[in-house]
Amino acid sequence: MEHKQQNNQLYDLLKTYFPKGSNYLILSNDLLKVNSYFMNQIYIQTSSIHKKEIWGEKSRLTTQYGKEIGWVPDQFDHIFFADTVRGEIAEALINRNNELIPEEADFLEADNLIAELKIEHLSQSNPFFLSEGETKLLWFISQFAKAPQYMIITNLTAGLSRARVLLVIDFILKSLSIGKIGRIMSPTYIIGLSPKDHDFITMLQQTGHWHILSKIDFLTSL
Amino acid sequence: MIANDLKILEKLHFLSIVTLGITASLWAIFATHYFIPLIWLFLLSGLVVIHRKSEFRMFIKRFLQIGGTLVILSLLQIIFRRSGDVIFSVKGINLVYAKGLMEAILLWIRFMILFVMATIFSFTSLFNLTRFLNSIYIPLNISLLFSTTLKLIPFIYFEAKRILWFQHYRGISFRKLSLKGKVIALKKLLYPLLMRSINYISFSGLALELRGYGIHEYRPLPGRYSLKRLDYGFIIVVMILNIIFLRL
Repeated sequence: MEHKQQNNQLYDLLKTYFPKGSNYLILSNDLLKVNSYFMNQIYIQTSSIHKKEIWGEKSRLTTQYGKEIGWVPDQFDHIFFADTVRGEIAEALINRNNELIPEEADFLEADNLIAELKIEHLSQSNPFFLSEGETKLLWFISQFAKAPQYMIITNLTAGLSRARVLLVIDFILKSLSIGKIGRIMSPTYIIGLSPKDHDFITMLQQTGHWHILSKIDFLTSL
Repeated sequence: MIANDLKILEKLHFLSIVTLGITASLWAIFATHYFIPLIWLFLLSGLVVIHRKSEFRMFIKRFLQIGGTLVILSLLQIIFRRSGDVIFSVKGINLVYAKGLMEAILLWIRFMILFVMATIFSFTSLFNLTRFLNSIYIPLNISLLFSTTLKLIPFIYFEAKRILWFQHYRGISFRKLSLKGKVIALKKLLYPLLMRSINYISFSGLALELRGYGIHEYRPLPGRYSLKRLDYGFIIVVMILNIIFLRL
């Protein structure tokens, strides 16, 4: 019950500090703190420590949490379940509904998302053999495919080349301008960026309403 | 609590533990009566308890869990072994035979000895196993195969737990899945587990090759690994017990 309260508390705090109707840019040179905060809240506190927890309350809350929050950390040892990028995204699209085997329509939807992120060349690649940047892109898109309420990218530029950051920004801007991509509604974005990446900041501010947080005091005060 | 732990198994040479294991296993296999294997089971259990008194409750809990499960397996022996005197019958139908009951008890003891021996081996250092195999001139490839395989078990366990977290974070709720869904979810757990294990093993192999392992068939490991007084005493006690049991 303690964990449940903690996790719900975090989600409530997210709703309090990042109300919907706006997107958020955390501009800080100390993005590591932001990353470790969300890593602690989302992964460390919910990951199973004891055998009992594998099927217990924590797992239930992780599921609940996974449905609400899409999360792209700085560096993370990602695990994928399918043998192709296309299959992985198709699975991510249906897992939210507790389904496990995607249908043709889901694969087409996955193709659409892949095309939007311009990574068609990776469509048939095995997720386990992707580079760091490609892995992060796949993780981002599979998190987006879960149709979460919030999409937290703790450091947008970490592990990505400039060209790939631009791909992600284009994707985000399109989702914000149309309100959805395919059948996935645009979430509330919380993006961490270094203040020196002002060109990316300017690009992001082109579409949608962005609220800029220059300090991370709210994280330490939580 | 921890201060009371004798940790005797960590002090023993691997040969002593192997001697104990072989002796207990041989008695469990060849004994026709359950009395002596049962004594060995108590002795082994006692050794585990003495080794780590602080985990006494945990050991008893696991012992009862495994033992309880194995009772069901042993019951099959009673059902299918139908020879010897009839011990129990209902309305003229013979249910339990003397030989069947004896073999069921023996089977249970054999499995429990295996379980306790596995517990004992889990307390000993993996490096000691490699050193022991090295000291009896087992090729390094084989000794490393043993230790790498054993080291992989906790890795697989933690990886499986991580993969489960990833599945949950995708939004899958195992509780709400049907039986078929649960089977599919478990199948999906195996693929990343296999991929990551292969990855882990290939990197381990590469690391070993880079350190020069595999060039020579035999390579002495640093540090002496010899029998101590405690080991001699231990082996003598085991032998005395064997002689006593043979005379019974």
